[in-house]
Amino acid sequence: MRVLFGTQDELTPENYVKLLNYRHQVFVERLGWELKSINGLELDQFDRPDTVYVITRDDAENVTGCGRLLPTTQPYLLGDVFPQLLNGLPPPSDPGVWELSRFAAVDFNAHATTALGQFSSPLTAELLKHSIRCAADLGAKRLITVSPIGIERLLRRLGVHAHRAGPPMVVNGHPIFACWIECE
Amino acid sequence: MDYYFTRPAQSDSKECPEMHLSISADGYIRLAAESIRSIAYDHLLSGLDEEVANSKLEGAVSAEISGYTEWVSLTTPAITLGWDWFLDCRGGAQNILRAGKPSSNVMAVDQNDQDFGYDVTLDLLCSLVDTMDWRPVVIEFIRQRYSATVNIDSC
Repeated sequence: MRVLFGTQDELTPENYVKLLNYRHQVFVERLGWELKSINGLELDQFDRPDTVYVITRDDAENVTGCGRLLPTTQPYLLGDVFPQLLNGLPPPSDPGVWELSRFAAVDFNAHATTALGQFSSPLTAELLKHSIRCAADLGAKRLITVSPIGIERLLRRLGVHAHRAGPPMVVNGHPIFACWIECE
Repeated sequence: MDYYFTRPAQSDSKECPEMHLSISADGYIRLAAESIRSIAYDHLLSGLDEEVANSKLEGAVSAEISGYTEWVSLTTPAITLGWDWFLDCRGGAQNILRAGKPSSNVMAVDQNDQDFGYDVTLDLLCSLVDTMDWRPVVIEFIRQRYSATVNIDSC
């Protein structure tokens, strides 16, 4: 497995396109999320020049996992779209807090998957570890995410120190919540 | 996008004394252990694990029935308390058991307002959940929610 980090400018155009296509396969095709894709490439208003991506690839250079890191000092998903998940706390705007989103670890060339649908267990731990390390290198002390409630089981199994920001809410039929992850 | 809470009438009734709650910068609500135990928690929602809910359940082994349940305090800000459960039919009896430790946004503190820490707080929450009368609430909610697809009474 190979791990890549960087902004859009720091990734090669080929890798960036592969990333967006991977996101389309996972989030639109597999999970059925109502996201906009153009020509099989999924991106939204939070894919900006300062967005940092984490990508894992197999030996054949197929994308096997991804994550998106956004500084909370700029617009981000939780703050702009799901602030109600923060239990009344104002969305953080802090250089020590980064948001992790579009996190998926599905190897389409393998067949091991978990019930969560966007995670293959062997890859998830590595991708999460690298995402946390990348965020820490960017100055993050903790991450905030919008996640399905099943993710907690996974985080605990991986030994990640995480806790909720507030009660879950049901969005499009799925309970989601805001989760703090310590970059320790 | 739509979102909603689903709250049946039943709740784990306890006295809910007036108390001032606030959220720390790290996202935790810090409270003394006694206060965490004294707060009333209301059932928010429960569900089956996706692979259970999506499977054809005829012939499904009942021991494979598992899910999650979410409870929330009636305070502002709210304390969230969620845990996984599974159906245990060993010995012919049917019982629904907590699986693993709960998840929450609360941190227990001592009399000097020092954190007891992540692990101790989770153990305290385990004890709390195990004193709550949550099982009949969850079973009834699951029955109503999945009445067309799940026979939770089968063992």
